[in-house]
Amino acid sequence: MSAALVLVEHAGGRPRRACLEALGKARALGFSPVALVQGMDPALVAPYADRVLASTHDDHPEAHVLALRAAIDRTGAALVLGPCTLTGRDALARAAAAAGRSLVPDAVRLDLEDGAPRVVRPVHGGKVLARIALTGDAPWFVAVRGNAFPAPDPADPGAVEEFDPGIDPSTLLLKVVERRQAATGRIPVTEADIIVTGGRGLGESANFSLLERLADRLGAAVGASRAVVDAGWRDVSEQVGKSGNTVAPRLYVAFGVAGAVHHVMGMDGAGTVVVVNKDENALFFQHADHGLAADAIEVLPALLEELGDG
Amino acid sequence: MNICVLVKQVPDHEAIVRAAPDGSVEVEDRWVTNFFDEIAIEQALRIRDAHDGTLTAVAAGGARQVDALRRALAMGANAALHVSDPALDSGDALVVARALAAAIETLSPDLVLAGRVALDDEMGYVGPAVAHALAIPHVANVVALDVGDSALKADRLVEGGVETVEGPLPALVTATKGLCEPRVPKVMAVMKASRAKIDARDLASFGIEPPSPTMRIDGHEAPPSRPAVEMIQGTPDEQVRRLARILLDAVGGGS
Repeated sequence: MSAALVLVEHAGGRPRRACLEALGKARALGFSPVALVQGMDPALVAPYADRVLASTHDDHPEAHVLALRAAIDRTGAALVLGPCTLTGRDALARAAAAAGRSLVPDAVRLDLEDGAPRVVRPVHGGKVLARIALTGDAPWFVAVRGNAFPAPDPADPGAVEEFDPGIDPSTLLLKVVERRQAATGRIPVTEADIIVTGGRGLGESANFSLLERLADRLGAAVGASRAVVDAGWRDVSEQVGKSGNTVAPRLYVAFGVAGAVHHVMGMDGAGTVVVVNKDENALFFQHADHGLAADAIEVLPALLEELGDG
Repeated sequence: MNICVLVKQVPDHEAIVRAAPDGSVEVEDRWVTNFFDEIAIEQALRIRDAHDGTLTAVAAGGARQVDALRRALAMGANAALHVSDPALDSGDALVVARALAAAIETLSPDLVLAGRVALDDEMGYVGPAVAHALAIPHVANVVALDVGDSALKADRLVEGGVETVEGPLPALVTATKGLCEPRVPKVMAVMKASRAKIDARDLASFGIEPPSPTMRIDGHEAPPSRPAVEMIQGTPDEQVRRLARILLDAVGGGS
């Protein structure tokens, strides 16, 4: 059985959901899933992999690339998977380039045909899906969207081994001098299972406190439309849409968001979509499962009360 | 300082894009320079002006890519380089990246800027792959950039935060929203750029053979469509109760 190497990133010490889903997908396709982890407890990943390489490298953009390349060499992986995060895409793209391969990102379907991967991925902001065949020899590089594949059930833990990728520090050209967490301290929209998003229809920046309370009540991340980011109400890290983040939560709830094309482009992969907008002709209702034509500012306090958070 | 910026012309985000019955993709004829590339152009112009440098815009692909180069010229770029070759039609970003790298190498830049992703194929691969081919560092998703004579300092977005990195030049930086606001070129500059002579060069003129593609686009299909929206009816109280029920059911377990 050939190996599939999965770059497993963590968020606050927990493996990212998309990475575990990639491990599960690799196994479902008949590969032996091998996880490459760094900076987290490998035991959290072992129940989903046949083998966990606990790399000793530091959290550094170039070190991540070198460790990934070393792990591909070590495992002889035919398939290399990882998450479509900012950092994951960067590391996978450079490792793919070093192997003389393209990286096919944003996979929402992944199958094998004659032993080689076939990927389906949204392009043009999700207006169409492209069917991609990876050609040529392994290794093949694919980055997967979160929520696209089933979360695997834990099984007998795979073997955990310390992995020294043998990085010569003098080959690292970049130096990381500072790290700052986003001021919000909330779940990032790209990681969230549930997102509650606010737009101009919330009237003013202060009304986002209602949305934050709803997010706390539902265990959700707070998202923002481009209009409120451009107005300075919210940080760009919360922005959903073409020029912000592409998200695919299980539940997406929008309050006072018009649903312009550039917004829908960033969230059309969501599971259930609920839209509250006082304009009954709002475009966003065309992309929703449930709609409520009502003023978000009036609905939110009543909703919080109904949910026992009045 | 010698600077290059990579640019691409893509469909306007409001253009109608759909899968044709034969699997090809039909795009309404409305094109713009990629959103993130315009940010890269603007930042490149500011660095060029601060360092008394030269800015060359570089694009790869068919005749439409000349429009992206003209946009860069209208915004203020000094020169434009168009790489055009049948090998670029494969749809493989690896081939495009190798072609761009070969073209850029002839310019010996101190700094290369690019947008973080093109909003048509959304591969996001060309920036990092060009950096690899040129054997220079890649600083991804940059929202603040200071460039000195031989080094740079950049703030880059990472999941849930910002990372500040320092590195030597030459380097390749991919720009994302927040780095700067692209200028709107003046009408006279647009007219002048529209008359600029931009020669196309093929891969052989850079002395490279196109690499074998490592991926192939087999076709396109429509995304799964959502069933018609169910509008919540009733009195305001009933509406809120129904909304709460929908949210709790979707969250699961009535938590």
